[in-house]
Amino acid sequence: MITNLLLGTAWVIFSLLAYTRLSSLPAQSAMFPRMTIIGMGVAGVLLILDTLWKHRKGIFKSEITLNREILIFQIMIPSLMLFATYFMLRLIGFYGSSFFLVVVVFLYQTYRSAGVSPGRGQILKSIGVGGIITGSMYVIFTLLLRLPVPSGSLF
Amino acid sequence: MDSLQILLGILSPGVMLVIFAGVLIGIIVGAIPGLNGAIGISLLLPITFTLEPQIGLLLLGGIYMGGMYGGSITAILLNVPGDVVAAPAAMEGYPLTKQGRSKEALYYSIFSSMFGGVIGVLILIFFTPPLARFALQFGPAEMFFIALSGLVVIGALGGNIYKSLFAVFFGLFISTIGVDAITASQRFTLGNINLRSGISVVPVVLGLFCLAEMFLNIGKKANEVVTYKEQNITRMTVIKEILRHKMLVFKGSMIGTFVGLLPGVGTTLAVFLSYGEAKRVSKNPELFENGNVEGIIAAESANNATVGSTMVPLLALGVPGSPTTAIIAGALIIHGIILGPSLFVQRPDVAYTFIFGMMMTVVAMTVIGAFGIKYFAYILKIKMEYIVPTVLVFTLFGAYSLRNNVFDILIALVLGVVGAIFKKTGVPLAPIIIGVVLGGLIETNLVRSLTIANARQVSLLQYMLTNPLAIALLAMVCVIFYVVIKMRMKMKSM
Amino acid sequence: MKKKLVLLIALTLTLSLFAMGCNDNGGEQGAFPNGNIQIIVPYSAGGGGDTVARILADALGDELDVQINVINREGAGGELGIAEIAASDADGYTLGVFGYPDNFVLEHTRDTDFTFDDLEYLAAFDDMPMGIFAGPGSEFETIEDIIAYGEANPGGITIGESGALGLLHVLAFSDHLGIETSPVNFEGGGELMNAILGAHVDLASTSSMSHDPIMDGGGHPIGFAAAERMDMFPDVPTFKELGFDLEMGVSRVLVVPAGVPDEVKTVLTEALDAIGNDPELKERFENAALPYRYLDYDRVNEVLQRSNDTLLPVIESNQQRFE
Repeated sequence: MITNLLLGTAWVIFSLLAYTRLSSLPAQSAMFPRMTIIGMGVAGVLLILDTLWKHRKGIFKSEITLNREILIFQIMIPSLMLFATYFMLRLIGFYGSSFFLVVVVFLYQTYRSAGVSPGRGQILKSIGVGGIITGSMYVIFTLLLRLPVPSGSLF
Repeated sequence: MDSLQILLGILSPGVMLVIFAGVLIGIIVGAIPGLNGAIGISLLLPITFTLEPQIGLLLLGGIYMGGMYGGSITAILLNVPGDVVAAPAAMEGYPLTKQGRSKEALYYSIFSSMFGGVIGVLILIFFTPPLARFALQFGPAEMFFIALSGLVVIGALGGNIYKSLFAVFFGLFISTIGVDAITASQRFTLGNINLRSGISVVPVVLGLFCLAEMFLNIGKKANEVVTYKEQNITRMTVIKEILRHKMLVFKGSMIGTFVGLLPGVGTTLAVFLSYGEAKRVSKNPELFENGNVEGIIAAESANNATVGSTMVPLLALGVPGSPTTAIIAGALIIHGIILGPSLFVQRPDVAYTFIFGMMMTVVAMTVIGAFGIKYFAYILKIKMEYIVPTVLVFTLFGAYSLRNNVFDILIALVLGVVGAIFKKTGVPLAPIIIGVVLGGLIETNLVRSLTIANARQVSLLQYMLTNPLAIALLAMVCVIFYVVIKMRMKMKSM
Repeated sequence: MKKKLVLLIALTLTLSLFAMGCNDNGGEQGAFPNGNIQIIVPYSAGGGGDTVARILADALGDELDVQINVINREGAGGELGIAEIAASDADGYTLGVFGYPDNFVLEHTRDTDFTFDDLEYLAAFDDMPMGIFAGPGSEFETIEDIIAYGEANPGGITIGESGALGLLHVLAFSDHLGIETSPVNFEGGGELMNAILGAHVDLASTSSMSHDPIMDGGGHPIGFAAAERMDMFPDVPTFKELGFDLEMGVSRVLVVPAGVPDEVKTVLTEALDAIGNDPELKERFENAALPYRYLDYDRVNEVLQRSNDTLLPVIESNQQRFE
């Protein structure tokens, strides 16, 4: 229930923030965004009211499966890995950072799902997997398809 | 050149090889998240310069057809739609995979795609001139109502009503980011040059569907992982089952055909309209999003039906209505072929070889799909720790290659986090996609209508309801709205 | 088995390391060019600008004996791609192809990251005038009909347009005729074509490339904003003959970022001259309904400068329409 209220509040705040940005726009350009922003805000308010009302009536059924464990281990840590990859990509280009991503995700995944701690053998294996995946992407995208890949500022 | 010669030409081994190659490439680019038919076509565009125009066209047509199907493979097996149009296939197909029915889901997808493809191409062959004229009837007012019908359908998709409401407005809001086409003012760009061109739907889908799904997979314990099960189901059973739902196939194909005719609308709307309609008429609407084959049948027949119909205005009027057909138009232009009514008179060899050859692309797709499924399903035998990093790097690459812009990767990442949180808090993701797709359509056509109404010195409503077609479409929106409300009431009482 | 796996891993590792280290854009030493060249096109695949770039990539690649890749970098009406061309390394391995005056119009109507002089213009290949077209069954047969109706109903004529230049052309056209019109924006050529053929707008402002499909669909041209009648369409009058001094058109230019070394520029301009004066290239352009006009390095700079001088007042007098 708390999550629903937080969600509703976040939406209302988001729409208020967005609404302040409208003032600098010409009327014609602001018309449609205004409708969407009001819509988001109203949806947030309604969600809060609905949750409170249902809770009072005792018919509140949660469709939320989020808990701290999921938030930390399945959302925050993976997204940190990806954002780190993104910034690496700006620096050293696509293949180097893909290699990093595969190695890190592989180690984390095997640690979480099978409880394999990242020892020497496991690290070697992850490097191998990283090499294979990045290498085959290189063959497909750069050699065969000749697609441009993101390049970094250093290389 | 008579028709027999054209037919023999299509059936020659060289041409068939080109068609099969095109379809296979299409299926592969379709299945890879982020890459889609349009990218595959622009990749192979240079090759067509050296081929005869009709052969080159069939190569591109094959990619287009295969690409529409390919997205559903990864959608069903991994819950990662390879293409935007495969989002419903993920919503229905992946639950089936979790129940160990992946092979069945894949068969439903390929054979529904086949039926949709055949109907679309038949319409291309027989009804091109009248339908092209019909498509011209759609002005700003009519397009506005079409887009509105797409928004109303969201109500049928399920989930908490207020969360759906937020999701659709959030999607519409995303579509307003960027330089607005009417006054060229910057909206919500926060001074970032990359945001000026707006946020396109591909990184949004990659973030909300692919990355969010992979996030939640990364930390998963072994016992929560889907495993492959051998399943005894024959192709004939599935085809018979699809034929039992022939109204669904027919309606899906008609919706696909109709929406495909309209310039700038896009296949995504067709897919969701058809999916929503399937849910409306279904005897078991509560099974939707828990693995209902009806949803797969409706969505997959609709997206392949658009392939034929998007070619109608292109060939008959020289109006390319989608990015994919614009590239195909480019391929024709380079060969000095002028699109429009004169095409069928001046270059009948090209025109007829192409439209009859499109039928062979459906055949090729069915053959590759129906016999490849055994091998596609092996993806599930691979351990998650190999799949997750592979999908992640492909997704990053796919987000980049749409516009060759690194910034799109960042957008996909941010939306990936948002998507993962929304998924776990019961906020439906499909309405966001529909909002992003329809936002531009609604706004530009509303503004166009306003401009024209002003010029004619009538009120907006007066202008919008001059045409009988527009009135009919408005009535359709109202009917859908009423039906959705009724459905919601019924679901609540259950 | 295990040994094989290790070997395989080692092999792919070296391959991927090689991939990381190797930069596709050219080598470090030796005469230019000794590596792949890329052409950035600031539009999506399939349009006129993209077609030109692909024809050029093919011809120039043969001439220089290197691989030339076309990269579509669309967005914000060409602004993103042009900014990227201007910001790329000035080593001759990144070229750009786009339709002038898109960069000039963007620069003066928006807060862009590039100016006209951030690019160096090596050659121009076509000269495609803008035109005004009427749809099937239109009551506007000639330009006089438009003036008569426009004077009676200020703002009553709707003109469909797409792109920065399309709007500018509508505004200049209305100015010259002394009437007020209502421009209606469309996202691309396809949507605009649908609107004019379906009579949802009264007139359309688009380039001469749309002539054939519009004629095929039952519409007709009112006139072209060209200096003289086009060889391809000798029956269409120019606005000049009709008494209005309006010239506006698109010219696909090949550019490099400013600051490319002279010896590299010489190699490129010589190669461009070789393909530009080759009748085969002319034929390929005309096949694609692109009116061919090759301008070499000296002439292109002269022509663009002149064109800038005539465009600027038009943009400035309509500045408020772009804000």
